[in-house]
Amino acid sequence: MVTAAKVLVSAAVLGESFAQAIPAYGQERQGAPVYACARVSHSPIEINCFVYEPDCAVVFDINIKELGVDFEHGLKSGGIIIANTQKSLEELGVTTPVSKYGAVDAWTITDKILGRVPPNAAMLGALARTTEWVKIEHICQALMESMPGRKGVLNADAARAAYEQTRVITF
Amino acid sequence: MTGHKYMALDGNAAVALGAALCRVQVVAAYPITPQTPIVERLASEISSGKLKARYINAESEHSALCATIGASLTGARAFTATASAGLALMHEVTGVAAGTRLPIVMPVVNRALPSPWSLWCDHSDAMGERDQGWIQLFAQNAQEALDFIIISYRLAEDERVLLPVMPSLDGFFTSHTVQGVKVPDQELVDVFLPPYRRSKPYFDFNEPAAINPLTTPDVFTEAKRGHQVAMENVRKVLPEVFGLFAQHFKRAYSPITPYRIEDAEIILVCMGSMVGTVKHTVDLLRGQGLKVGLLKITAFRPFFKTEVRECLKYAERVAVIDRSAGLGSEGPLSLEVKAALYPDGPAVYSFSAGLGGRDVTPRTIEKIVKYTATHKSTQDPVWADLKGGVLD
Repeated sequence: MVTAAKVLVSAAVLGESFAQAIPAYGQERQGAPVYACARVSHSPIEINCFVYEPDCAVVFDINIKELGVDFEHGLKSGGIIIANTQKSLEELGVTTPVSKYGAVDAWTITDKILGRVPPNAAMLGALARTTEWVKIEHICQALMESMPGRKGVLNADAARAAYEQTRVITF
Repeated sequence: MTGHKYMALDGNAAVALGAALCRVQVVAAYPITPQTPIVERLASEISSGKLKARYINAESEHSALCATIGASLTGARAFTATASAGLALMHEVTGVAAGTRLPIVMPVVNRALPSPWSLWCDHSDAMGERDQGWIQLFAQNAQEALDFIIISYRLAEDERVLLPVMPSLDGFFTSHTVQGVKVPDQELVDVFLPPYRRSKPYFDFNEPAAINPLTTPDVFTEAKRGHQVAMENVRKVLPEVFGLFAQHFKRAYSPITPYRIEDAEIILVCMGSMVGTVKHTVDLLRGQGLKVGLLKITAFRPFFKTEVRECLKYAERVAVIDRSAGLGSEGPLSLEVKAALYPDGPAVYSFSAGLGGRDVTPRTIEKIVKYTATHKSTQDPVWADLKGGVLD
């Protein structure tokens, strides 16, 4: 998740944009909910604190809801939700009015191309498709630069597959 | 030809690249969170042969700084980095580095001093060193963190200065936050920062001498005075170096930087990574018709007293936000600002916020502004983001 935020920043920088990813470091254990935030902008970013009112929430695992994590928390009305699921917003129980919803089965794509790893690359592909804030080419390039060799190429493949398979609904 | 490469880097990587661009010759270090990635990256640059330097893996921070001092005394451009408890362990020898007048550059990745134990950012570590005779600069972001390494060597090695520099960058908020950074080309840095030419004292077998010997009361005061004079010289040399840097790299810095203060009734004063958030909030509040401004402090040591007074004297109220508590008194930055304005400046309100990594948000800053605007004066420092505190 933190890696995905960093790759997003790298992709934005490749597009000559401004971006920032502030990681929240702390006690960690595998399987526990994690959170990372990032900002992307066409102008320099002065603010340097965590994001409390995001324009977009990217949900890597919809099961966090069962753990009591509200992924809509702080999301701006008219914002964007991108989720790793085939379910509709109604099925997810989303109540915030959003302008766009991007749905992708990132688990299946990741499993097929990369195996049992977090769906970072696929979710970045879905992010590029739904928001259009970064180019998919830049996501792929950033993935390949951060992971040299075959691993990077496969991650780029996963991002591109997710980019193509993301179902975007505009409201 | 732009003269730089635009890269996504966190503050630690930016610092390591900055040190490599300065062609440091000796790196002696001991890892400590959140500084470790700086020396890890330098270690791999050195082991791969990309950076021609000696890496000394010390057994503690005390030893790391001792080795850096020794390396500097041989005439090498020496580098180390630390944070928090590591800096505290160095305390005994920070005075040796400064008193011996060695142009060492040692970034400090700000992390709270225990207790309670914390990994996260505040300025209590750097503040513990404020009277040790080092130059202290506070970076706002990763770009400044990189640039200040280059600037620090140029400043430290100026023969009018010859003092060590401690550029500070906020743990996690700068050290681990990935952002776009312009990394200057090596050729440009080489022109700005020529190879280090050692000046006395150094280990010289032709002229053996005791360095830093026991100093009796009849000359101790004069030795200290010499150190103070070098600190005073920084007031002149630092703006010169910033000016030269701007010519070479097209990025302008200043010991203190005012923002929208011309007609400001309330001016906020702060340093480090919160500066950007305060700037953002100033714009927000200006949009609501509030006359608010910001004074960013980059150089904390020496403290640019006269310049600070010039910026603040026409404000009605000044709100200083320290990222350390100054237990038993109030935040150190607040004390400096009050001293600079004594005896007839505007009312100064002392706040502390962001201790042990607590996020300093626009909401916290808005509350500080509101409190300052609506209270006649404040006797006590206000802990701005204390749960259940006066601003909660």
